[in-house]
Amino acid sequence: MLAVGLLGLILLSVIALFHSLLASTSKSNDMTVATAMAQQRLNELVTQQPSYRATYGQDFPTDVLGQAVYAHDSQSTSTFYSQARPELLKDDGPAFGRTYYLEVQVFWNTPDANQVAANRHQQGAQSVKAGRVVYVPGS
Amino acid sequence: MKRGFSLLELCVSLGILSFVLLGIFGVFELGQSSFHFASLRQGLQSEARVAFYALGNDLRHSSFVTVTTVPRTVSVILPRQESRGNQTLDRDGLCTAGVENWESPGAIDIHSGFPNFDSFVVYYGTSEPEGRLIRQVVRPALVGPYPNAEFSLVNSMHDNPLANSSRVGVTRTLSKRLLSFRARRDNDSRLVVVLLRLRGMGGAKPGTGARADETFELTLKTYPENTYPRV
Repeated sequence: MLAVGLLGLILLSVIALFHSLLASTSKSNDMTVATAMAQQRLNELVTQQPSYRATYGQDFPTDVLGQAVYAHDSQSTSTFYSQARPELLKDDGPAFGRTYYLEVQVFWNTPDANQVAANRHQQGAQSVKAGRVVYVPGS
Repeated sequence: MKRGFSLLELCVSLGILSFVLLGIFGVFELGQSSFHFASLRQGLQSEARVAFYALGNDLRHSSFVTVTTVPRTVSVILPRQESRGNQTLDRDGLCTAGVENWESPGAIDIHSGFPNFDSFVVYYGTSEPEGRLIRQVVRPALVGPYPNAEFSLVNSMHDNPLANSSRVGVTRTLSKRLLSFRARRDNDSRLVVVLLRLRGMGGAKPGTGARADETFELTLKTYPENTYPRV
């Protein structure tokens, strides 16, 4: 009985090991998608910046955008949310311009867009960030 | 006196042994399918990254004006999804123009001052159900400012890349598991937006046992840095 019990324990451990192997590849895929998305959003924000002042009344929009992406399973998509967070580093006045540290955070596996950067048991942080120092010239 | 095993004892021990063996083989199968899925995911991811890097690099070094896209859809029956019938997928074409050697005296057209484009980097998805993403350098005999009268993106999108009638340079198959490839130029933002979706056929899904496929997609939004005037 003891031997069978030990064998059962070993089998359970092996199952858990394979389960975590799958979970890690799944997270790796999610992180690749999120990293690419953060970089793309950052590129978009930087290149489109001159048009934001007229549309949003601020240098960068900070609303949360959601995008459904096939990250692993063919049957279902995962929703990735991205949000820009501009941090004003230096304001040289309207004539000269402003310097920002622009950071984009992408997070996933959250029930809704308001629950930013969720952590999940055995998955760890489910968000990535990409940032860049951006100079916005004055008018 | 030494006593042997009774038939009942033998039956019970064999029953226990078969349960143990069932468990061992079950875990073995689970391990095999987990490993298969893990390597499939990693494979798709690395193929997408390679294509993503190559595309991003070529697009960044080009100008928005000289980036051409051709929308193309194919109607295919995907392996293992026959019950869904024909599916319409994007297998677009995209091309950037370049100059092989900027130090050459003939690199710039002396009359117009524009570059004499002599090499075109073409990306396209082939039309087979399990598509391939091809990157090919095409060098037309006729060299001159953009657009090139001899080069045509549509005529460069062959399922057999070597069937191209123009002189071709390096041809690479970036992925053999292409599901869809969509490339668009956004005239307002001057960004080139590319959606790349790869599909790999997996075996039995661990836990459920159902056969499942994996799909992995990446979106690339690139601003061609040589665009003039800048936004």
